[in-house]
Amino acid sequence: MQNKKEVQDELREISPLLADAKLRMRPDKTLPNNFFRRQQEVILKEVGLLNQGRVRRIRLAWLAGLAASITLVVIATRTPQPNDALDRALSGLEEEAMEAYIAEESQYIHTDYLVRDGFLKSMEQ
Amino acid sequence: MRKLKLEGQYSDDDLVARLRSSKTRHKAYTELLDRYQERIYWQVRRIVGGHEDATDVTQNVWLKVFRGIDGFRHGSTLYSWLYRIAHNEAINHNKKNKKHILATSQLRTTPSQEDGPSSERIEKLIQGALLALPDRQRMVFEARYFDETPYLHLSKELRISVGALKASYHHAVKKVEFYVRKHAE
Repeated sequence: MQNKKEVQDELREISPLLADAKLRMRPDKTLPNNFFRRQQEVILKEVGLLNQGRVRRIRLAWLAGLAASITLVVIATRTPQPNDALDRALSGLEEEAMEAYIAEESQYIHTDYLVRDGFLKSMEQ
Repeated sequence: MRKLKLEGQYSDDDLVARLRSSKTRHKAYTELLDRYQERIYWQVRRIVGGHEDATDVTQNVWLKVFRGIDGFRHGSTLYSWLYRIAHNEAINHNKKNKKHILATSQLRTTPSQEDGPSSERIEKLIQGALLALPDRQRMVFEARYFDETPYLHLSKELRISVGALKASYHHAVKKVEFYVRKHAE
């Protein structure tokens, strides 16, 4: 009540026209009983649905991520790996292999290995 | 006069944090509605006019608030953010429905009475004037003129000093008065 009087006095000081208009202002239109309570329920229900949709989307995204990870693991384990044993065996043979190649004893040479090392390329130059 | 919902258990900032957490969201949303639902409804209703339209628009406002709460930046206060969303929704609703009930041309056609304009006409003129005010002045005017919100409460809500609020209100009232006088002739 005190605040109402303060608001009205302040307004009258600034604009008597609007102060009078405020006094003559029609009261708030009546609303159906419990309107705000019922509207709140409707909104919360819709929000709840939205929330469920959001949770569902998050779950779907999580499942899609999991499926993608599993697929990657399967692809990685099933893909033929380079022959590590051969690589290891050849790694120390570079000089020897080159010498053998030069001596045309190519049956001892793993040509692919030489190509990979750029040996043939350097020979062509 | 409508009852003003004062701050509840949480400050607006805490409320925003609770709205963003999935664990506390539902309760926080209820509290947000308890705090602002009525004010937002009347704010919208003053612009759109009818109860049915105001109900639809406010429902959209709250859904937008919920969807957008993660994007809310603390550069503005929660209330000014809600206020702006509600204002924009209401104006867009009127545009969509080609409602120009507040247009000056229509206001002029309302027959004026000899002993001055009717209160209904002045209310419409005030609404027309509000559309031309800057955001802050409009917000302060509505909170003070229609809701009779105490300055201290508004100051907390908008993080604006009481002095600045009084100045904004003063300017807003003068502008509204000017508009009303000009169009009531």
